[in-house]
Amino acid sequence: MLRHALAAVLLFSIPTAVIAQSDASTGTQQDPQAAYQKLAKSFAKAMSVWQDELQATIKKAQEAGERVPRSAYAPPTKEFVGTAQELAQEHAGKDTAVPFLGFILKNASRERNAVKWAVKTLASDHAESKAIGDIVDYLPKVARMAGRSSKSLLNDIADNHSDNTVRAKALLARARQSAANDKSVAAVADLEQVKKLTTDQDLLDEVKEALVETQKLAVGSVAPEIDGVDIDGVKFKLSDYRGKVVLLDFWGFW
Amino acid sequence: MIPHERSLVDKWKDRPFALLGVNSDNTSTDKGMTLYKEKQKEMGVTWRSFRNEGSDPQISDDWRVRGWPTLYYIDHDGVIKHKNVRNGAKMEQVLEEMIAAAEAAAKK
Repeated sequence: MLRHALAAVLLFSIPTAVIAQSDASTGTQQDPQAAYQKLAKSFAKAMSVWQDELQATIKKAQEAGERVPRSAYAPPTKEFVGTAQELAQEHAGKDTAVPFLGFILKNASRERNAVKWAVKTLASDHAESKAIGDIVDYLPKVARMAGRSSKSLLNDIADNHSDNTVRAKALLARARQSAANDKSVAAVADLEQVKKLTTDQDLLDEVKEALVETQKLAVGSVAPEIDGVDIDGVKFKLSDYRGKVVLLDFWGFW
Repeated sequence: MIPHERSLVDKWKDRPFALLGVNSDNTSTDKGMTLYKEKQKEMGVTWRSFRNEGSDPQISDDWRVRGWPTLYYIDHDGVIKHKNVRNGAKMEQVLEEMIAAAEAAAKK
């Protein structure tokens, strides 16, 4: 069923491909931007089809009192990661390859080899390019699949890149990662550096946001007040429970 | 998760401990609320929850929650002591220490 749905998605995307190709006036290569957009679009479609299928499968299994097969939870990333890899190879050595490498980092679910290859290629061919600034955010995400290589690439960019904006973006990505691992001192140090390196308002806004997380919500901080209502609509506050240990659990039955 | 939490609530019912939820189920419609109440009964959820959507901005946005469940361990002074300890045995150990500290502080 899923396969049919995917085939349908791919069939529908052919007209876009034809347009993209006729738009590219030079040579046999597709315009990289159009190729990227096409890839991202068909991937988004396949993901939404998969999510619908998954929900239907879960519902069906629940009604039948059966278990949901594990395979149903696997997102259809493999073929798109494969396509991204081909496109990155087509543009090998040029900065136009960077978005495709970024796509692999961003979307891979279990394509470990492709991720490792993408990190290695970024490190060897693009570490000094400006284009890499747009994809540094995805490096922490693949730390598990790529092992040390993604970490050392991020460190290299954050500490040594010649372009200050690229460095700022890498520092921000590293700070978020530190914050997520409760290393707030390291996170704050990186965020303070970003402030010195850039005047870009978007980046500075992100720094402000990240500081909330590392300072207001860090271990050792006083918990922010919650002034809310319970399920029955009765008002109460988190601070009503001072004097008691509170285990605050963000949860749902779903 | 829920059966374990229920056991913690029972275990420490006479000590300075509270399990508080921030619930993200859709309880804004009658149907959603009925479903919630059914499940609440079925699963034996006795503890109190904030309605996530009952605050603006939503509590989970204010607390930058990106994944569920997310756990915060808050001591008797309101200080965040741990985040996201999920292992059952470790959870009990951490809470036991925090509760003992709360009791010690109350005696002073």
